[in-house]
Amino acid sequence: MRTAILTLAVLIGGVLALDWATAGFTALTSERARQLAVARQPVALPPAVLTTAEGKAQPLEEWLAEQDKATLVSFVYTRCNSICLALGNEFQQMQRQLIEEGLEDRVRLLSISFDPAYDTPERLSRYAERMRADPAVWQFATVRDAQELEQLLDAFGIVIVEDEFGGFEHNAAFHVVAPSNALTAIVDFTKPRRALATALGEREA
Amino acid sequence: MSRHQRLLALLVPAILLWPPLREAAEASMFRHMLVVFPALLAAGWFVAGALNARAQAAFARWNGMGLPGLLYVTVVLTIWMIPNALDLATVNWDVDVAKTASLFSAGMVLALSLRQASPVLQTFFVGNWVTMTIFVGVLFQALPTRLCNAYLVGDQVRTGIGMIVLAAAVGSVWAYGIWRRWRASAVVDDGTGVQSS
Repeated sequence: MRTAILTLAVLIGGVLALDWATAGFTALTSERARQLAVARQPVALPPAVLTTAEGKAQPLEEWLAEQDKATLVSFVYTRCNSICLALGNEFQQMQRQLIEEGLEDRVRLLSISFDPAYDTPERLSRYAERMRADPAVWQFATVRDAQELEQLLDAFGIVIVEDEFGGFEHNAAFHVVAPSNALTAIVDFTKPRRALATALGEREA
Repeated sequence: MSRHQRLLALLVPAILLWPPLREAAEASMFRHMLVVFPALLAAGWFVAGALNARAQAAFARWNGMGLPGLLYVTVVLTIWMIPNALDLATVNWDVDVAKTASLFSAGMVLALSLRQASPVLQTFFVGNWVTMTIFVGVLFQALPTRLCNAYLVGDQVRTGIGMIVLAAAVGSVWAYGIWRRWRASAVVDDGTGVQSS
């Protein structure tokens, strides 16, 4: 009898623990759990001052509110040769599509560098050129204040790990941010079409 | 080993939660899963031996055939193989305390339960763990993406290989033990129907 009670208790505890570990049986990775959590409950972004590729300093909140557009944000660093380039290519294609379909007034793109020590405005603007970014659609910035950057990355759920070659590995995704300074959706970087559709929907909602 | 020596193993979880060491130990997925986890389990195993006979007997009454105990060990080992749980443990101190306590206690419970379980039940649980660990190890290597935001993809591949090696080693040692026991009983049971022991 005692054994049966304890077995049942362990089983119930096990199911509860599994429920916790998988965010309610929906996610095995923290990346997926993050996407689902943001979809349920948008995240208000903490204050952070952007330093743009033009060298201008402007609070992110102000930058977002300036124009009534949804913004797709991705996090990169310019020395990166892997995932950031893939994100850059996707942004390039989105830029082309936005211009071709006349949607520039509804969605814009923002690449934020998390490596302000290296990514000065000059390097960002050179990188933007290399990416053939049209400043009317796609802008580049970084956050110089270390604490602000950390809080911003935390809010976006970006984890950066230094790799063996002096670079970084980081989770990559498209982040949909509303003009009201809220992160409303995270879309996997392998699904750029869905990211764009979500951003367009955000603008309408 | 004396009781006091066994109780020294209580230091293992405390040391692993000490911030500088915690950071170093958890900086790599390989160290986290294949050094920290086994260290906590082993520490729990040692401390279990320091329990007095009365405490052991009291637990045994609740732990018939070792069934709830082995189930608990399986649950704990499964939970911390989930990438989301592992990620949370590296970020949140409270989750890490829960991880440390659960793995340490799983080591204790394992020591107290294995001896109570029949060879069939033991084999079931060990076999289940070996299969699960090999499966997860293959997954860690085969997936092109990172499963944990806290760890590098190369680290994940090495961890996957390490898990397969560990599971294969535990499985082989276990199988050898079972085979020896089976052979010993086969020798004794010489077909005359008269069993001596």
